[in-house]
Amino acid sequence: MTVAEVEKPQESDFDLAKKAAAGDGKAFEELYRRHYRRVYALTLRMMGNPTEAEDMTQEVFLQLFNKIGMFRGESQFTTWLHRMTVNQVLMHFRKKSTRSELLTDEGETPVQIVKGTGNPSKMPVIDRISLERALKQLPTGYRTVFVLHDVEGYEHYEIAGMLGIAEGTSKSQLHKARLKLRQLIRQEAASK
Amino acid sequence: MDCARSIELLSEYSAGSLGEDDSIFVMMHLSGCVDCNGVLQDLKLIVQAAAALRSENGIAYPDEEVLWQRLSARRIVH
Repeated sequence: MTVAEVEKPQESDFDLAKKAAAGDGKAFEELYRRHYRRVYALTLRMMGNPTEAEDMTQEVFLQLFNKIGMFRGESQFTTWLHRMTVNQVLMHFRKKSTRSELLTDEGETPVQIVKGTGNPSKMPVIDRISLERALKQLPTGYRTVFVLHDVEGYEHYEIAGMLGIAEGTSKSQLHKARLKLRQLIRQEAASK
Repeated sequence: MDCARSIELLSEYSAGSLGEDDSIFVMMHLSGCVDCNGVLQDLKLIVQAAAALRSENGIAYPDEEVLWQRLSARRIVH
């Protein structure tokens, strides 16, 4: 590799997208290599299952391949791809279940309120690792809203739009999801 | 009874999005309730831990090349 090649500035995602839309396979491959980890990480967080996340990552890039010509550079490519990934996962959830199953029933009381012990030494450790474990056990509806809001940083009005629900429902689902996670983390700590 | 109502409002209290009446109610309740304070602290820790999950570190990624080959094969079929 020559010095000139080493110093060659990296092409922007937008330039690669334009080339890929014109049929340049190498440009599409470069986009895949740049972004597949980000897409896989997001699908894994939303789906909680590595095999399903891998399949979904493929689906997202197939979708990207078909729709790359629609990217006009009005937003960051990563933002556009992120949204496409979220939509693809939500579509998958909708296909798998009825809408009522996508959200945890409002009338249900799935969250047992576990009060604090008041003794910090008896508090379970709530960190990234315990949260990841608990997240895998969370019902799909709760996990979806929790991941979109608390992990990915979407606002309630955006989540409401994506899921076709009221903003208040998104807030309520998020709160129940957090309480359920807390309960799961405490149960795991108590079983040790 | 007050604890149940307080706990129901804790996420929004923490986000600062409660109306004035509810906010004062929770604040007053928390000033005398160790249990609800414990729940609030846990919820804050969960929100903090969730933000840390956004990082793409610590994930066992599928093999880049294998995934690309599978994707390429499916693109051809499509």
